[in-house]
Formats: sequence, C-alpha cells, structure tokens
Amino acid sequence: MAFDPRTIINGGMLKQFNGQTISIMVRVESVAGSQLVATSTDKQKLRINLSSGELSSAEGAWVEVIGVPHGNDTIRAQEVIEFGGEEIDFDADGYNSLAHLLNNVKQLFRSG
Amino acid sequence: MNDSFGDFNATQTAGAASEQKGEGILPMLIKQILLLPEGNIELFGMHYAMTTVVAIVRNIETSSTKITYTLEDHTGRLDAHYWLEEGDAHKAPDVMLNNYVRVYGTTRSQGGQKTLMVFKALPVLDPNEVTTHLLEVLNARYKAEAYQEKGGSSGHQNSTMPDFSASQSNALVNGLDAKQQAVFQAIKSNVSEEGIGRKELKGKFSHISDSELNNILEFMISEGHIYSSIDADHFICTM
Repeated sequence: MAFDPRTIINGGMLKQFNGQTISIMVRVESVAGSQLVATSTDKQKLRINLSSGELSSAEGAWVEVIGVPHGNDTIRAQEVIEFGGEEIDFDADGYNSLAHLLNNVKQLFRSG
Repeated sequence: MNDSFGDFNATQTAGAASEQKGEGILPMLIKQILLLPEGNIELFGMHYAMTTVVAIVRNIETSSTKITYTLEDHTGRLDAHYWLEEGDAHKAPDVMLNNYVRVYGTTRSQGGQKTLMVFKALPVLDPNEVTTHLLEVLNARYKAEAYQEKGGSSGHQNSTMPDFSASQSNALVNGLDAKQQAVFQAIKSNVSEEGIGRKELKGKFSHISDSELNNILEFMISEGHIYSSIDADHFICTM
C-alpha cells in the first residue's frame, strides 16, 4: 500500500481537514461496536467510526486515530494505534502546542 | 556492533565511519531524511553522527544477516536495516508491527534510495514520547537555522555544537537561572548510585540559604530535571 501523508491535528482542526487524512490523539470514553466515542486534547467530543471493531484500550487511555474527518466531530478511522493503557498521563497541552506548531511553522523541510 | 549504546559524541561510529563526520544525534522526520541531498545527516551546515526517528513499524522482514523494518511517520516511509551479528543468536529488537518504535542510526544513500542503518531500536510505550520527538524535531530545525544565521561554527566540529536530542544533551538545561544551573550541575556530576545528599549540597552551596536551596530543589523536581532517589534528601538528575 502506497504511503499517504497525513497531518497531525487536534479537535478544533477537524473541520478544516475534512476529507484529508489526519492523525489525532484522543482519549477513549466508550466503545460500542464499531463506534468509539472519544475526547480530543482540546476537549472536543468526537465520534470515531472504526474500520475493525476491536479496541483493547479501556476508558481513559489515549490512542492515536489515523483516518479522515467529516463534519465537526466525526472521523472515519483507518486504524487506531494503542499505547500503554489508561494509566499513562498524556500531556494534552503539549500535544495541542505540537499540533498548532506543526501546522503553522514556515518551511519545515528547508535544510540550508 | 555492540548493544551498549555508548558515547554518542564519538566522531567514528562502527561501520559508518567513512560516511559520517560529525557529532551528536539529530531528531528527524522521515521526510527530512528522504530529502537529504546525500547520505550525510546535515542541517543548516551542521553535521551529525546519527539521527533518531520515532515511527510506526509497518513491516518486518528477517533474513540470516539482517532484519529490515519499514518505518512510517506522518511524513513518509523508510526502510531501516538492523544487521545481525554471528553468535548474536536472535537478539532482535523488541519491536511490534503497527506500533511505535524509536530508532537511532545513520543514513545511507544508494542510487538515490535512502535507508537507515539501525544501531538501536526501542519500543515506544508512552505516547508522550511521540509528542516529545516531534517537538525536538521542530526545535532542532529552527534552532539550527538561527544558529547558522548568528554566524554559527565555521564548519569545524567542536564540543559547543548544539545537540538537539535531550537524552544526550550535555548542554545547559533550559529554564534554569544561574544558581539553579549550578545546583543542577552539582547533582549531575555526582556519579554515585544514590545521588548527592541534601546536606552535601548545602555544604557545596553555603552561600545559598537553606530555604532557597530547598526551593531550587523543589522547582527542579517539579520541572522534571531531578528526582529524589533513596530518600527525600538524595537527588539524581534525570538526564
């Protein structure tokens, strides 16, 4: 499968990236079948439609969702990457700063 | 190639000596690696011995001589080779498909194709490490440009060259004033397992009042620069 570049975003940026492949860190709230309800680092409630119905992470765990957003709060997920579980204290502020920086810095790929 | 990941500042790294001249580790995105004009890890005129990348493992292929990982971050994909040594007996890195890994290595360019030669691969279990890596990449990129604009080094490698990888930095810690910096260095230079004691620090810094020293230690703990070891009165630095 060819590589498809994606943008790292937070909840507030979902609308802006409708139709484009994104990556977003979200906190698991609940999973019902193939739908994950989660919160973004900027406290937006999101609905994530999973491609495969399996998610081992429990409520409170932070996971990375890679997929395509629609509307203000929905993402069609291609995959979900899990980490070490709900015990991890994820730095939401740090991630928000990162999303903002990555999308606003100039000429990131310039090297000389 | 040994497993003990020793002195990053050596200008000669095993197997890659002829390709890299430079010190330090540069945190990079895969796209940055793919855009390197040749094999050398270079940014705004500064050469680095090695790079570090945090990426998802998309494929693992094992042969008798090496393991080839396909690494992917949000900017691109890259193949990385981990060479197996005879008698290594399956000391393969603890890496899982579709999970994040941190890799240290050097770049190779063969016929326009870039690959990474892996010295160390470690699983990433904490998503904060991904955030931190990306922030370190940004920091390195913009600090390097600013450094060059300020006149920088004349291309000659020396020990004051900026090292953007926090885990290897011997440079001054950001965000500390002169007194805090001095206390931090005293803690850092203590090599015992239990760290340096509060009493010993008070003795070293007799010109700083007890309460001020305690405040400095509290502050550095809250910032994550130091932590207490065998008890609340012994300190070790986190770097």
